[in-house]
Amino acid sequence: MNFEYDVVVIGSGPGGYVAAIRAAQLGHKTAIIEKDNLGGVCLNWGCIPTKALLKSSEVYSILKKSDYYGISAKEITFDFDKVINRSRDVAKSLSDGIGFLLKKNNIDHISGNAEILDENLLKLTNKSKDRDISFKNLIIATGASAKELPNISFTSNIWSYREAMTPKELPKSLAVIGSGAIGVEFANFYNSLGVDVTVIELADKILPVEDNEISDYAKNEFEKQGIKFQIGSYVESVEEKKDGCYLKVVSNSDKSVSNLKSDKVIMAVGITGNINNIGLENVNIKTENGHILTNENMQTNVSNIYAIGDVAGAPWLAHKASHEGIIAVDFLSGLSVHPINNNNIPGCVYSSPQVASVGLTEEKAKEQFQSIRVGKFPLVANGKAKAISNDTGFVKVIYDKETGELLGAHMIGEGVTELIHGYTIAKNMEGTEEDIINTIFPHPTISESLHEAVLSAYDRPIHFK
Amino acid sequence: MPLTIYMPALSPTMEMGNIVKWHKNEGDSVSSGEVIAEIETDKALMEFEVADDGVLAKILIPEGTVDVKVNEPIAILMQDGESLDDITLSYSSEVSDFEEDVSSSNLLNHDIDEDTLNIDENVTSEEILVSSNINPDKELDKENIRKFITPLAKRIAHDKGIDYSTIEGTGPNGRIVKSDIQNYKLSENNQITQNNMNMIDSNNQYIETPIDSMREVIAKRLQESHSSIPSYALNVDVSITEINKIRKKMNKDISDDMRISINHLLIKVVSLSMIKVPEINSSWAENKILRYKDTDIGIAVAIENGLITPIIKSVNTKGLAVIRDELKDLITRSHEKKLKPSEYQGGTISISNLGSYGIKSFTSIINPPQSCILSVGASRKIPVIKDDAVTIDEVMSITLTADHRLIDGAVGAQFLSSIKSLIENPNLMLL
Repeated sequence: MNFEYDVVVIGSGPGGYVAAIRAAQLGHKTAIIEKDNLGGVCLNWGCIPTKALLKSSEVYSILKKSDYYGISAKEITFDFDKVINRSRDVAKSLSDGIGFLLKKNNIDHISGNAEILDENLLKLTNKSKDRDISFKNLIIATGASAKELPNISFTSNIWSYREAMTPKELPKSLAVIGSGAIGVEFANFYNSLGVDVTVIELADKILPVEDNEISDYAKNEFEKQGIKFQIGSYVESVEEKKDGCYLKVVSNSDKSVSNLKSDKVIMAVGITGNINNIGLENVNIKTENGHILTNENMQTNVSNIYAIGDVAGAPWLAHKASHEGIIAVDFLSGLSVHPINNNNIPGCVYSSPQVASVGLTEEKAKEQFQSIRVGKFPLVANGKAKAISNDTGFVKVIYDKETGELLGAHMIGEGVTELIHGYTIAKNMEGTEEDIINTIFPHPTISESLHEAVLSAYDRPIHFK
Repeated sequence: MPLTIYMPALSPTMEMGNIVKWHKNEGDSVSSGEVIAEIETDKALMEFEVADDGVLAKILIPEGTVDVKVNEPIAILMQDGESLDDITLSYSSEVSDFEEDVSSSNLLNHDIDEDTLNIDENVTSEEILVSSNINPDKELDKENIRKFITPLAKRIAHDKGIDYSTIEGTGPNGRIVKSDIQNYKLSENNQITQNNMNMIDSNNQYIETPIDSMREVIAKRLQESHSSIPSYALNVDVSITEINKIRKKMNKDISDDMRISINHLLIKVVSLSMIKVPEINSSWAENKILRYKDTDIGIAVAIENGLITPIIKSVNTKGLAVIRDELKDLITRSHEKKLKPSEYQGGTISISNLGSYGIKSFTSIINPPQSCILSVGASRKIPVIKDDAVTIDEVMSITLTADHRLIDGAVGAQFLSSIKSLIENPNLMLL
């Protein structure tokens, strides 16, 4: 039987467009269906525009202390609209770039909504005319949407990430519900611009997935910058009044209630997969807790239909989505694939200071391994960090004492999101401590701290005792 | 054309070697026969001689590197008129050849032959063929297929004593990764170990000792011998009263270290009996039996953390004094781990004497490619009835373990009876 396309991808986020390009490169006749702008949340409403915003707040913070570096700059202010517009421009130019890449690879970009009809057919709905598209293989990359709490919904005052990055004006005060990467980044951005920010976190530490020491250190740093935290607490209700939002915050431990008033609220309590209205039920694709179930080759229970990225479950990271896209396409092309090991997926938070990690936290490593080695190196002992007067933070590594396997690496500090790949490569290639110890790191760079942390784990640090 | 120098196979069992020292630096001139490096094999520390004249252009594996696989390039020798560019080019092309042609046995065998000739004039390729019981082609091929393995997987394999050469990797490009080693550990080979481990009383504390290379070789060879050689044992009590009388006379007025021991005499007796029963002096070579003229006899020597069997060559041409001196030297150098491979390879029989521990009699495992092994027990006095009177005789028990594939029971019995006869009537040794 002939199909219109070898591969159809639904969704053009970092999972979908990468899968489509890979498929086209392998010679498949490929189409990508997108109902919105190319690039998905990552490019339009997530990773990229938030980095643009954070750069603005970083520049503002640096200028405010320019005198320290011997530079005089007076009357430093910012134009909030310009900050927001620059972020939108960056997103647009990257989205246009995806369009260019699709074209270059002869991928049909189809605008509209897709609904699966059967194992080889979907229905396309758009402004012009509905039509059916037949496919040999389908890749579902529909992504995810911000989760709402049972008793709190998004409104013009209670923002999701989307509203949070395109406000008309700067609020005076802000409550952020949830201290994951998204919550912390927005808290950091708004706080830097002078907004009074309070973060409420259900867990008993901020950045709950990170190593305890990193969470504690980050909290301390953010508090120094003026962010307030209410950890071990949840928001029971938000009452919107004319003069602002009134939050009822309940402590986990003693159920004591405190009230918080803020102009706006950002709710960043996680995301849920976009599994509705795409016809999953027509082919009985199995889902669980808001995401599609797949095997390690990203196949759903329907063997020619794949799911990748956020819609296929945690961790909700663009780079994981892209990698899964490659796995799915390679697998359906008969190439050998190497399943993802979640412990080798790095995670980053682009606040100031930044946080980056890969693998197990010390707590998890202790649970899973008999004995471990932990090494730490503070950036205050790093020459480059001193030279740029940005010596906040540290690098921490965890090794299996028995085998020398790198179990986890955690960092906080200037530019660490650009450094974590060093450990990720070592981890992915199954290097031991020797491989890092024998590697020469350039001086003077903050990357030397990666070396020193490993030396420290093996009781032989040079620049720190 | 610059010559690549490979890690030599200094013994048939050698799979890896350690580069202990480079005697030459990059840029030094070397001439044929000159020692350029010291290499530690599983059994000995060896001097490595270069076979050609030239300049040591590049050291590829630095000194102190351990577990360098046989036939891995270790250095490059440049000849007159060659430039460094030649080296880079030919080396890189060689490397890619190596990777592309891993399965081409022609290329590999060619490399090997060249090596064996290059390295040690004492060990010719022929000798290796003769002294090795293993099909050389097969063995060498196995050694030469480069195995890609992650550093972590390699370390775990090493720590657990797992031979990863047969493991199929599941990582990128077939690379062996940690999970392959772990899965291997749980599967095939180690069911026995697993069972053993289950039987270990976990309440009883034990010390874990990693397997060193000598232990690995001993384990491998003896396992192979025990499972592949159909052997049997013959046992006889031998009176040593007469031979001791002669020994006493010989050792009169001789300093302690010059004394002739029962072992020296035994070596001579075994040699004479091998001449008399020539089937004994042979080895099994799969599709043929190799029968030797000279009698090469191994002596089992217990050394620190292991044992080794140095060989006294051509005992048939040597007198007791020479045997005594050679044995003393071999034992000394066994303990120092300074034997050359040619000094512990080959032979057709070994003698193992546990008499000094009071062991009455025992059997041993044949040391391939040898065909048999003699186990000598302690001498002891027993009452014997001679001319209807009880007298005292001193006897020791000798057990022959023989490879039935080439030595039938009757032949083994003839051999043992010849030994008995010579020890009990030492005068016959003069015949």
